[in-house]
Amino acid sequence: MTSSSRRGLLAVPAYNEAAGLAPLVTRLRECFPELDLLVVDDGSRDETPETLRQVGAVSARHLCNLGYGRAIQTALRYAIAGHYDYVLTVDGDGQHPPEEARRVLDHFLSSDLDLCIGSRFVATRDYAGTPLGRRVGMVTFSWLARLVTGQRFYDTTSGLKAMRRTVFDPLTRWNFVDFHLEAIVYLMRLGLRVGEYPVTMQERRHGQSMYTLAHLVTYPLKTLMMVVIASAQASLTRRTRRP
Amino acid sequence: MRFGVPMAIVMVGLLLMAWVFNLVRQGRLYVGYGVLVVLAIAGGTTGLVLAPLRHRVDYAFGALFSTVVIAAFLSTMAIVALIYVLTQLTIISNRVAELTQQLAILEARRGEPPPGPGQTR
Repeated sequence: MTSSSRRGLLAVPAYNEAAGLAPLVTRLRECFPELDLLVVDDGSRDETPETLRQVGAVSARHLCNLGYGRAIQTALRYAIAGHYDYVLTVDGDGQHPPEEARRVLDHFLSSDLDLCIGSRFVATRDYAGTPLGRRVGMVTFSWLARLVTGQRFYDTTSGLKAMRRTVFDPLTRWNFVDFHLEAIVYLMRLGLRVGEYPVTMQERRHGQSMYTLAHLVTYPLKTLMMVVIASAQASLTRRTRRP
Repeated sequence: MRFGVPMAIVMVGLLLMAWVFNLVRQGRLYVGYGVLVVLAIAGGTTGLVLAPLRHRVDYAFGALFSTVVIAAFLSTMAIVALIYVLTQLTIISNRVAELTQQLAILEARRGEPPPGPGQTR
C-alpha cells in the first residue's frame, strides 16, 4: 500500500485549550490536507466545545475529564472504528508546530517504525533548558528505557507521535498512565519497532500544563510501576501468542 | 521464633505486593492506588520487621508479650480491606471511562462529513 492510499487520522487531545485551538486547527488543516482531523475534548470547562463548533472540527467530547492517556485511547478507538491506517497525535496546547509534525509524519511513513516519537532531545542528547525536576526524571526514564528495552529514548514524555495500525490494538486493550515510557516499553517488549525523530517544540502559549507539583512525586512512581507491569504483561502476551 | 515471625511478615508483605501488581496488570486497580498500597505495605512490613521498631510497638502497647503478630494481622486485614474498596472504585471508574469514551466516539462519528466517492466507513 502506498503512503498516499493509506488513511491517516490527525488526533488532537485538548483540555481547556479554547484560547489557542482555533488557530491551531486552521494551521493543522493547512499542513495536513490529506488527514482527517479529530479533536478529543477531554471534558473541558472553558469554551473549547464552542470553539470547535465554530471551526467545524470533528470532536470527540468526554463528558468528564478522563486524563491524557484516556484521551489518546479515545482517538485510537476512533481510528480502529474508522479503519484508519495510522494516527498522528499533536497536543492541543500549541507546543508542536504543524511543520515539525509534518516532518515527523513524513519520516514515519518512509520508515518501518510502528511508533515514531517527535523528540526534543534526540539530536542534542542533552536536556539543557529544562527545569531540574523534569531533567532528573527524563535522565532516569531514559536510562530505565535502555535497561528494559536495550534502546535509549531521549524524550519519553513527548505527545507528538505517529502510530501505525499495529499499535492501535495493544494500546487500547490496556490502560496506560500517559502513553509515555510504559507504552514504549510495552510495545517494544511485544516486538514492535519504536523510534525517535528530532523536532523543535515551542513553549505552550495558552492554558495550563497538566503537570502540577503533585505530579513530580506521583508521576515517576506510577510510571515505574507501570513499566514493571508492562514488561510482565508483554511477556505474558507473547507467550500466549506462541503456537 | 526469633526469625520466624519477621520472615512470615515479609512473606505476607511480598504476597500482598504481588497481588496488588497483578490487580494493576489486570486493570482492576488504578495504578495510582497501586502505588499508595505498595508503599503502605513496604512501610508496614519494614516497620514491623525492624527490631527497634518492634520493641517500640511493644512498649507503646504495654504488652506482656509481643504485639507484632497482632499488629501484623490487623495491618494485613486493613490493607486487604483497602485493596478491596479501591478495586471496586477502579472497576466503577473504568466502566464510567469506557462509557464516556464510547459516547464521545459515537458523537464524533455523527459529526463526521459524509464519505466521499470510493471511501468506505
